[in-house]
Amino acid sequence: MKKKLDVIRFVLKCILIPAAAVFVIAWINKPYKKIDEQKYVDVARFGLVGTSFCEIHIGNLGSSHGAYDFDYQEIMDKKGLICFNFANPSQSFDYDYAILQEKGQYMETNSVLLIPVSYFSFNNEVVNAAEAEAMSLRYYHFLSPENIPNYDPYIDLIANRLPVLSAGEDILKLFPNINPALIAHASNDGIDMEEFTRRAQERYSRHFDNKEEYFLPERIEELYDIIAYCYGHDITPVLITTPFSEYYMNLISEDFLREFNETVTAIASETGTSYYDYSCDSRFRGSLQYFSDSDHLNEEGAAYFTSIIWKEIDEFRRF
Amino acid sequence: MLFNSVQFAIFLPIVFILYYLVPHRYRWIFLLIASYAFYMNLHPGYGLLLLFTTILTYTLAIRLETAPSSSRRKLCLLGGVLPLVMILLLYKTCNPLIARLNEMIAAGKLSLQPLTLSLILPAGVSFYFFQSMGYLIDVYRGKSKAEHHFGYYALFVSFFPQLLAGPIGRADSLLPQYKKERPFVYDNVTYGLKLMVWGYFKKLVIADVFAGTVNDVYNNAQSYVGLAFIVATLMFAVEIYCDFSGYSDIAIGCARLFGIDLMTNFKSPYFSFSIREFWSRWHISLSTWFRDYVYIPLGGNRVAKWRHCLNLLITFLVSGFWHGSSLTFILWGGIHGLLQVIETLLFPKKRKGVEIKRRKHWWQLPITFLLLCFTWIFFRANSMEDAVWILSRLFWDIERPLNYLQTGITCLGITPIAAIGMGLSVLVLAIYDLASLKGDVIAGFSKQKFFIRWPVYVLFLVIIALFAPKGVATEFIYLRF
Repeated sequence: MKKKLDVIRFVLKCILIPAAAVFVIAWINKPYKKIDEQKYVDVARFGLVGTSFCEIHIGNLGSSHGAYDFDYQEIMDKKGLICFNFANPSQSFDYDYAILQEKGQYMETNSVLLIPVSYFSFNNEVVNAAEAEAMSLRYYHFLSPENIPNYDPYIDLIANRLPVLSAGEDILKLFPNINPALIAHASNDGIDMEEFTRRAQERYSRHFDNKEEYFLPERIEELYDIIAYCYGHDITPVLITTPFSEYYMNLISEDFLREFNETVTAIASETGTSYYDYSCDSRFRGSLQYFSDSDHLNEEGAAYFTSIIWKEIDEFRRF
Repeated sequence: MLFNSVQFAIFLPIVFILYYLVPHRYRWIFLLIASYAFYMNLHPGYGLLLLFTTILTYTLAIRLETAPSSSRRKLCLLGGVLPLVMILLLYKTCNPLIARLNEMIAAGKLSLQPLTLSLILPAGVSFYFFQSMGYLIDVYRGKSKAEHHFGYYALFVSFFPQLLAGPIGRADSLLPQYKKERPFVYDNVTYGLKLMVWGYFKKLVIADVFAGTVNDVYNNAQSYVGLAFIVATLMFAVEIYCDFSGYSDIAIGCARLFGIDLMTNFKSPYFSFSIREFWSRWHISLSTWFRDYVYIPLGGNRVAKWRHCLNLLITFLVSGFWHGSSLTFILWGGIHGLLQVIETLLFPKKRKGVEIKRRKHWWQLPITFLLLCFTWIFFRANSMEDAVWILSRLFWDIERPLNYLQTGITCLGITPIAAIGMGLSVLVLAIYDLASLKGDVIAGFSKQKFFIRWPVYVLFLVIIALFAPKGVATEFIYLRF
């Protein structure tokens, strides 16, 4: 009899204590979810695809080079075209493809899709599994599970449904009276030339160090998939390499550049896709005023670059 | 599977429920299957090595017991111990040797193609090898009887809570427990669960959080100087303690769920007044293993003083080598051995056969802790070059104290609130460990009224859920040894 009672007591305890803990977490999660949404404000724009952005004329995929180097405002204002930037920092081709599968239906027939190809595109920009996982979190906020590469319900739970579980010290934002300085890291105080060079080296290391093979077959395959999707849905794909500063370009070896060009050109010619290479464009290479760092354009640079491609890319002639 | 994986969170409740549903006489079979499933989940091939170790030591122990002559007995012992030692040596030395050879090839000292072979040390192998070897030696010494029931013995070697990182069990304590009927005992099971929660708190909320900063500094040692190393080393001292003792608590608690008592592995080690005392409180199952199977066979302390000192040194050098064949681990072991030698010479336990009672002074605590931290530098450094770099730059720029403090603190990137959080968690740990010196904290707390206990249980679960780093599951440090 005592044994039975003990078992019942144990089962009750095993249910009630975790249930109470889950209740507390759910209770804290509710207000935190609103705070957490601010972290993913940059991907909130994807929610507009299909509503405000329905028949997209020009779009682009890509990583940070795609995210920061295109500014369609002038084209949208003056030409009345609908343009959308599908790029996100460190976004690899598999995520580009995932986005295309989910949002590609909102590209208009005969629209143009710019596909940036950067030096790390055929490998990974992220340097380790932790960063890859952190980077993948944002997709849980705007892609459906079936389209998210390597979808993990655990990540969905901690990053999307119960974000308080991955809040860490951000949980203190629930208490607005806490001095923000307590949870702030040191900020950047602008960059000088020396810093520019150092960061170029950092970016180069990020893109090239500790990588055994720069051209992974699966990445090449994913690019083919993206291009095939475009042709299958009457979208015109355009391969493009965005401008880099001389600080960055000086670090890239001739051998790598040759192999990169051969790879991209081969894919372009095999699929009948145009490829535009602005990596060494003299209008940008030495003009640091257009760069926010060694390989990213700033707002002024992005506007200038978009105005240039608008004039120079043949596929835009139809608009 | 790892204790901090989602798979284990599913595996354990299922095994626990089924275990108490299975009749007693079949429980060993069930636990054995569960243990192999647990281990083979990491890699299916690992099961073969586990089975090989079990069959080898099981067979030789029986042979040893019935061997007609002492030379035959010795042969059986060596036949079991040597292959395991050789396999362990192979795993521990192969990769560093290949790396060294490749360095020489790269430097043009050898005209060979770089070697691409790499041996991955199967998780837990050092622990169950030691447990099996200990059993064989105990049978040889007549301390234990050879186990004739293969199933019970196989379970002794493979019992999943202790399989990957101990505590290294002894046959005379564990085998009888597997045979005994173990009914569901409420207090035992709830104690196990509470110990597991405490272990998870230490691993997930303290060790894993501290690991971020420690790894940043130690994996990029050349980018840091000064105070950053001191802070990172202090943090590593906390990290490794919480990581490993957290693992042990989870293992011991988990075994308790099945009615098995495993050996205590840590007893508030940072509250030690000497290095000697530290080793009686740190990784007890391994240090007693080395004591019983290395130190005492060498002669222990019942020999001339110089020989006693040499025995200490050898034992700790072997212990260092057990952790890894790199120079840093061997030096770590060597320094511990040397510190023990110094303590033995300066503060002998006995004089003329009479035990000397020494008063403990409070200042011995920080000195012991700082000496331990000094040795942790070698333990954690990725290479000897890094260790030398760190040691040579610990006090870099200290002549400008403000600058020293500011650079050290800002370059670590720890926010004030994170520092407060870390401080609080260490405070909880210190209070628990201090209270443990007086008695069993969990047993004591279990006697409190439910309205005191339950909120604390809920609070711990919530803290673990909220503050454990999410995402990429981190390994327990001792799984690599």
